[in-house]
Amino acid sequence: MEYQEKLRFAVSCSSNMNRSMEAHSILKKRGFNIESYGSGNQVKMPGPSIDRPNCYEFGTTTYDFIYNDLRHKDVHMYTQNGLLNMVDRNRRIKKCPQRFQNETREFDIVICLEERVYDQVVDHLTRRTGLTGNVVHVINIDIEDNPEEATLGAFFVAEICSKLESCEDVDNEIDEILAEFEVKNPRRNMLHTVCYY
Amino acid sequence: MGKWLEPLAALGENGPRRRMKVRLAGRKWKEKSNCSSSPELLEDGESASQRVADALRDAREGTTFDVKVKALAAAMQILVDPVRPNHLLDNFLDEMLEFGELREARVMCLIVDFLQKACAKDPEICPKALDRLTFYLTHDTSVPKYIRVVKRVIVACTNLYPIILEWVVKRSHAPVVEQTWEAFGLLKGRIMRLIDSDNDGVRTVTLKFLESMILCQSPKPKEEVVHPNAPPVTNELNTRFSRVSLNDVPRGHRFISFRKAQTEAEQNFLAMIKQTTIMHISAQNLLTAVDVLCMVARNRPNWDNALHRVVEAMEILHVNLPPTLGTSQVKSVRKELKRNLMRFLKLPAAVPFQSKISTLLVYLGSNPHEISKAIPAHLVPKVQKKAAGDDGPLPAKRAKHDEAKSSGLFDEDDEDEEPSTSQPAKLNHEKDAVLTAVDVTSQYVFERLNTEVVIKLVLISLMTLPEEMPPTFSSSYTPIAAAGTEEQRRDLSRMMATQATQAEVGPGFEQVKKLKKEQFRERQEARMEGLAIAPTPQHLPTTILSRKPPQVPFGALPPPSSAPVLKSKKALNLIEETKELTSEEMDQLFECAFDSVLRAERRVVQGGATLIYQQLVVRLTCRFREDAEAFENRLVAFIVEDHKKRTDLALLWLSELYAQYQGYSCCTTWLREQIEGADGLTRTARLERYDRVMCELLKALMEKKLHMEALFHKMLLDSPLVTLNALEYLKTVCLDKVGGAFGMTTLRELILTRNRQRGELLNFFFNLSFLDKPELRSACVDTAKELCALAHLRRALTEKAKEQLQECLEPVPPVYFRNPESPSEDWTEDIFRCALTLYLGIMPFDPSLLLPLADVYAYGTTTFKKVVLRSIEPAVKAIGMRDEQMLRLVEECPVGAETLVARIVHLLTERAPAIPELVVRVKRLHDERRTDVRALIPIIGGLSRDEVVTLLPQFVLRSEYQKSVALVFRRLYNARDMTTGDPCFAVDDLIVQYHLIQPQNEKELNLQAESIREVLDPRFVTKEAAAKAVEKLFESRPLPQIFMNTLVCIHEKFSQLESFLTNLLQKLVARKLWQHNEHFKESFFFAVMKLKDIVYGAVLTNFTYEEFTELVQSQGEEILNELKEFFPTMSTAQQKSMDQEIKDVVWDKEREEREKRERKEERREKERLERERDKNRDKDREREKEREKERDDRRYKSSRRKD
Repeated sequence: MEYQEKLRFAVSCSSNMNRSMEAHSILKKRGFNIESYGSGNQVKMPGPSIDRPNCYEFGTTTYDFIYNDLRHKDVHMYTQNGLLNMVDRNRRIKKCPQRFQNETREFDIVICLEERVYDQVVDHLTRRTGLTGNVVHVINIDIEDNPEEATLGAFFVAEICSKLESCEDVDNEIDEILAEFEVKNPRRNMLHTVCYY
Repeated sequence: MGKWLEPLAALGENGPRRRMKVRLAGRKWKEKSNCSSSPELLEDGESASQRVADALRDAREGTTFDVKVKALAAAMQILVDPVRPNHLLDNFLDEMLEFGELREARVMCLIVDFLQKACAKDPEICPKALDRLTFYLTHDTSVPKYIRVVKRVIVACTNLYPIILEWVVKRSHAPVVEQTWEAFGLLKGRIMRLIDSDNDGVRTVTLKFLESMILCQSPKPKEEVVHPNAPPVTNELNTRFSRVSLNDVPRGHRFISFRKAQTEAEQNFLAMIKQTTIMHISAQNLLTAVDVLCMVARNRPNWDNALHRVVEAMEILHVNLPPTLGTSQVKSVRKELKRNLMRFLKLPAAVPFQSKISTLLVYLGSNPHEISKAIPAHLVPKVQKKAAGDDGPLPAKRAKHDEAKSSGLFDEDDEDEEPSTSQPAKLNHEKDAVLTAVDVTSQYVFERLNTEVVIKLVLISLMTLPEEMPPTFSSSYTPIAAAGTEEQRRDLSRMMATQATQAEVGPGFEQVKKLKKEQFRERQEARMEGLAIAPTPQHLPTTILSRKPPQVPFGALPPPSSAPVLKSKKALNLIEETKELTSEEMDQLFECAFDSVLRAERRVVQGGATLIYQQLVVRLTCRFREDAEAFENRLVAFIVEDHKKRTDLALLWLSELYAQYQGYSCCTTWLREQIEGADGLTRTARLERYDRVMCELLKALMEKKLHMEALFHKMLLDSPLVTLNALEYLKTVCLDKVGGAFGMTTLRELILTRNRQRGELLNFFFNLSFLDKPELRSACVDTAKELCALAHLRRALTEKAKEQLQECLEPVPPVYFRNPESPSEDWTEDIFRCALTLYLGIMPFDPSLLLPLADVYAYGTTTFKKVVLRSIEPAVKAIGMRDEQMLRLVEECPVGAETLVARIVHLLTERAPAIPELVVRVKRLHDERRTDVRALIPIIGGLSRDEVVTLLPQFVLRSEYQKSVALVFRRLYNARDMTTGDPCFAVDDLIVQYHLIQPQNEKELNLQAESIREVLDPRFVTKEAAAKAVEKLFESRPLPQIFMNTLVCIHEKFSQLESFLTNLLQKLVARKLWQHNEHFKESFFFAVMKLKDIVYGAVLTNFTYEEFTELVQSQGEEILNELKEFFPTMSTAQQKSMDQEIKDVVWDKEREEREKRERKEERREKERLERERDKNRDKDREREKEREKERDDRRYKSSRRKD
């Protein structure tokens, strides 16, 4: 529903698997209006070696399918590196990985978890045909792509989201809030821009 | 008709639906012709209207806003669905809009959205929608989060712009359309003003609105011949503004002027470019502005030279990013710039600027490979061709090129549109002036960029390096690979020239100035024509500039070196090249530096570092031990110049100086060492410095007549210490007619809040009352009273008051008592009065001040006593006689202060009777001290009868107290019992007692006789009481000596008692009581003269001839005559009872006969007169009768003649 009190958040990483799903999980638990996406061309996951990743299509492949696929391929290895666990968690949250570029819904805040993702998201938003002219804030917060960092980063994202959620007028205060976070966390690569639907 | 109504019967029976049914029926009939062709759509329409009605009902009945919003959203979705017929929307429009009355931001947002979508579906709704939107644009603070609605309205208008324009173009002949266009113009103007809004979000969407406006009101370029391999370049299609542009507005439109619309767009485009130069713009707005500019540049690259100008603006922006941006913001902005520039490279129109864009991209951190990849293949050859040539076309050439291109692009349909084709050309030419200016300056800089100048520049910039690396620098810095090469020097010159032109200096300056004037004039003209143009921030850089220190004139720079500088290989020896500055030069530099720090205030405040700035300024001013006065004076002037904003700075400064004085400022570490070595600024010197600064500030404020301003009072109230000299300024303020009240309030606050300095402040406060200003004095008293009301201050205040009172006993008045204007050194009444003002003012609050006053009074001079006696009245009356301290004063009256006590008792009992406690004490005091008996008068009503009786002779028989007798008796007569209210003394008894006083000699007797007049005051003594007293006295033997005086007095004052007196005298004379002694006899004879007729009868009837002779002898012949006159009035019986001899004397026979005769003649005369009168009357009557007869005759005759 479009006219609600709560802000509409979207969080996006590259594959909608680890970082964005971790953030999705935490933010959902905290009661935010949240969706998660990937911005890459495919869902890419580590495979048996670095040059043989597991790739899936966005939108059509379900987490369930991925889970079973991985189990089938090498249950031991994927249990060991935590992938199975992760996909298992994901399938409890939503059905399948979604690609940001394929989404038509509008958001108030899009949080990207990597600069490359940010570039892709901004590029997508500025190239698509504008329809409503509504403002969307795109924020980048770099999070490394591993389970520990994903958890830490998700908490950081949750903190920012709760600050944004609690402010009276997000458009007016977002600059200040982000500046504050920047001062507190000088090492995180943060970016922020405004796009229009 | 029946066919149409049938499905409607299916509608529910509840209210709104029924209402709708009727309306639908009417509407349908009208629109029959439109819809009849598609029955299935109608079917659908019916079920749709049913669904909408259901949704609206849900919205109406929903209890929470969530439910309402959900239902409304559902209704909206059906209504604005493009497949539904317009009449459905029309039918429910009003009902939807009714929900706008709900004061909820979300519902309002929804309604705004609905309006926008509805207009898109059916533009005929526009007039109504604009009304609503205009209404919603006004910020309604009573609705929470209303700012969302405002933003929605702006976004909606952004989207509506092309829709309305299209509609207006299509339906230019309807009058309503023209009105709507006008209304939209007004709304547009209001939105544009919001570009200065306080809210970031509102500014953002307003910028976006401008974009819509510029795109709609500028001509769309014709599609170029697309290279077969090239991707589609028409970005236009990718925007929501693609549906209409200025090309679609016919030249001959009824009310839209092509030229005006274009000018409006151009001016707003210019305003938009200006937005990027605002120093304090927020990152969000800057990003939006860049986005908007790039959007315009992509879609209208050649219109108004847009692409070129945008690239130029980005070039300026990238080296002039606002200082307020944080690291990540700088990064984001640079990213945005980069992204947009990359997109520009793909434009065919950008071919001429490719090298410039590439350079810029390199500065923004792109590598050449990336850049060359971004340029589409079909555009590459041109670039290479350009690269093969020189440095690209010269600006003038380029302008020409653009000009040619633009006129080609706009390719007008009709040839007679001369002005509009030449217009863009002219504009382009003017706008290129900026570019030319940069080029000219750039060339100028390049020629002078030799080693010497560079070293100087580096040295100067070292001085101004900030402590922290600014985010802009850190994120943009890349080591320069090819430093010193010609290419790099050129780039550097260009960058510097861009900066210089931006700051309006350099050889290109004049051109820019001219251009700006031109732009300003144009904008004003455009505004005059009624175009809506967003406010431009043009004034900003100029004001900042005007605050800069005088620039070094360009002539001062060395002329361009003829030989290339790079060739000089001489190594630089810093020591050789530099020479020591003289101390004047150093001072001057210091001062300049200080000035420039001061001037940085504005930017500092914008950057949010106010506190750090203030600390810096204060430290700079305070750190130097000596020669700081120059800085101090500068800072004082600086603070006073804008005292409202710089209050904190002033206070901080004072606090720092105080900290130094106390020795706990870190600035004084050095000082402390010096102190230990008994050198440098001692504590006193530091206090002096604090004092001096404070006084300088106050003085500067006073001189500028700013002593009513907050800073003046804040300094006194909030600074750590108020020095005596500073108080002098406060005194001046207190003396001021207008600011006096302010001053007094401040002083009061000071006394209240500054515990440590309270003594000094009270001294100051008390001294104020000696100044020759009555209004000030009364203000002082008022303040003293206010302060006294606070228990913790009362003690300090009374102590001070007592102290000051003691000083009244000094042989000469202390200095501060004296009026500085009068030379006299002696005590005067005025001085005493001033000294007593406050004391007596606060006495009612603290009656314990009574006794000290009496103590001082006892030793005071006569003048002092006089003044005290005169001025204590209000205070004493306020305290009242029941006060314990008051009674104590009477009881313990200091020796010498009896008169004061007497006066106080007198004042206390003026209106109310004395209470017994007071009576007892006064009496005791009188008894012990043998005080003046008059001191007892006030309480005499409270004494017992016996006491009064014993006291009476003291008053009556002493000539000096004569005047008090009346008072005494008045008090006695008026004395009332406190509980019952009955009189304490019987009036007749008092009169009797008065008579019973035994005078010892003649003199006392006379006094007693005289005072009887006061005793028998008819205001207090009734005639009955008087008669009763006289009767009692008459019974007493011997008769009181003054009895006859009493009778005379009663006769005079109580005329009603005449017969009573006559009887009494008859008895008195008959009983020969008047003879009992010689004196009484005398008084009796004297009374006879006074009483006359009342006593004459008694005298004549009862006196023997001897007695009569005695009377006549003592009183003279006069009485004889009076008796003779009286005698005839006596009755015959009385006359007979008289002594014959007396009768002979008083009976004047001749006179009696003469009188008899006279009476007889009189009688006769009267009779004669009466007779004559009768006679005359008879005659008159006869004459009248005759006349009547004649008249009758005449009447008779005349009647006969008629017959």
